[in-house]
Amino acid sequence: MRNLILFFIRYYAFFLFLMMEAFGFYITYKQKHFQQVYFIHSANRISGSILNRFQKSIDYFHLNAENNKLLMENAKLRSMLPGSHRIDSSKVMQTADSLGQIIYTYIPARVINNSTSNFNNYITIDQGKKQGIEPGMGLIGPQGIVGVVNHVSDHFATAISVLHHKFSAKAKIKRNNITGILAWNKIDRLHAQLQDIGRFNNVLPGDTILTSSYSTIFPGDILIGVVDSVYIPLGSNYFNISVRLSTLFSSLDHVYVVNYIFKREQQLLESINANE
Amino acid sequence: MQMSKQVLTLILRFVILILLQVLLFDRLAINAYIIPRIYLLIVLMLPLDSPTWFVLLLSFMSGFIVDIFSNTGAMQMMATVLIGFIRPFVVSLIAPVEGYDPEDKPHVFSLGYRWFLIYAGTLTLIHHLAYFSLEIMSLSYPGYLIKKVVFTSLLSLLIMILLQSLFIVSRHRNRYS
Repeated sequence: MRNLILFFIRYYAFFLFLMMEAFGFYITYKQKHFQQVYFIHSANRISGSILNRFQKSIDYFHLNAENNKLLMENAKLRSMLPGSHRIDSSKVMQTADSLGQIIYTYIPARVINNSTSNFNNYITIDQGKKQGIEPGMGLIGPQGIVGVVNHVSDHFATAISVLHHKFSAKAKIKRNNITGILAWNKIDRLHAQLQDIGRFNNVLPGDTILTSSYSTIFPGDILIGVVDSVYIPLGSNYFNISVRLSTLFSSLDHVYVVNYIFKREQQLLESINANE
Repeated sequence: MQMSKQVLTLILRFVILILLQVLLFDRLAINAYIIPRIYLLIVLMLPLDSPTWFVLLLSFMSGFIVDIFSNTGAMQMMATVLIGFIRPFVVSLIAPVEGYDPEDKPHVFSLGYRWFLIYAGTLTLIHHLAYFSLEIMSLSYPGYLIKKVVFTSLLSLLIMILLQSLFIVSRHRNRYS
């Protein structure tokens, strides 16, 4: 017994080392919920507020670029207003019912931390549970889709960006409404891959890719990007489609968190089918 | 007096390097594929005769804080603890012929550029190799992994030497002027 204790004392450094590594493995690969429960992510109170304060203090340096981006978006929205359309009196005009029920609400947020060079990239935003953000909500920016919220604290939230191996979203080709699944190949931060499109469909470089309205995360018809290259691997029944993402992930600032009001209802209904 | 000054230097270096890492270097690199990991200086610049538990503790803390800020699980921490553990072996492997002086400190002005390059280069390379392997967790991209490890290590090393030149020279100036 005494020898055993002496042995441990002699090689304490090695055992300390082993314990630290085991702890690291445990919280990184085995117990993902540990990170959420003990706030080991950049949305916790301390790191969140440090990042937030720092972001506020450097905001002034790119006010101009951000204003331009918002102006562009405003212009786009303005062009959708009824007043911007020529009314052709010979046709019956169809407009959306202005009293129609709202199904998506948007919560504006600022990006306070962001990575693009890792294999799994995350975004931290300055809005959290108190503002109504929940895990699973979509994140879109002025230029297109951005990510999905995964952790929330009271005042901050983190999201997995499109550049994350777990990210997947239903997407469609604008021209012919064929749907596939968007995923990222871990390496190229300018492109994502559109999967599950059979070889007998019609896909061409230059096709616009939008979000599908089947998704419960994003509203339909949000821009994702443009098809860059298309080929069919030898012996495969599916296209290999590379999509150039419209969002420039290296310069994210203003984003909107998408809240689909009927998400729970839709998921509940769909889960009944799954259980049958 | 000497002791408390040492402790103060340690704490200051820890705080400044962590802040530089998470607020400056983690962001600067957003437009490149490469993030230099300059916080390794915290571990690299500990006195050569520091007890192993202390080196491990500081590696653990620094890695973990950087992990929290960059959402990398505990991968930075694992890689940093690894180099904290093998640091003494590297130090004794590359000892000068006449051995170390008690005055020797692990930076470019005390033991020279050549010594520091080998010392920090080895440890940085091991850290980055461990970190990126943990991050990919697959053997499908060997070329990409090697490229990323080599270029990130080079940049980390370069910036660490620049930082040392800036800070240590100014401290010498204070002492002799």
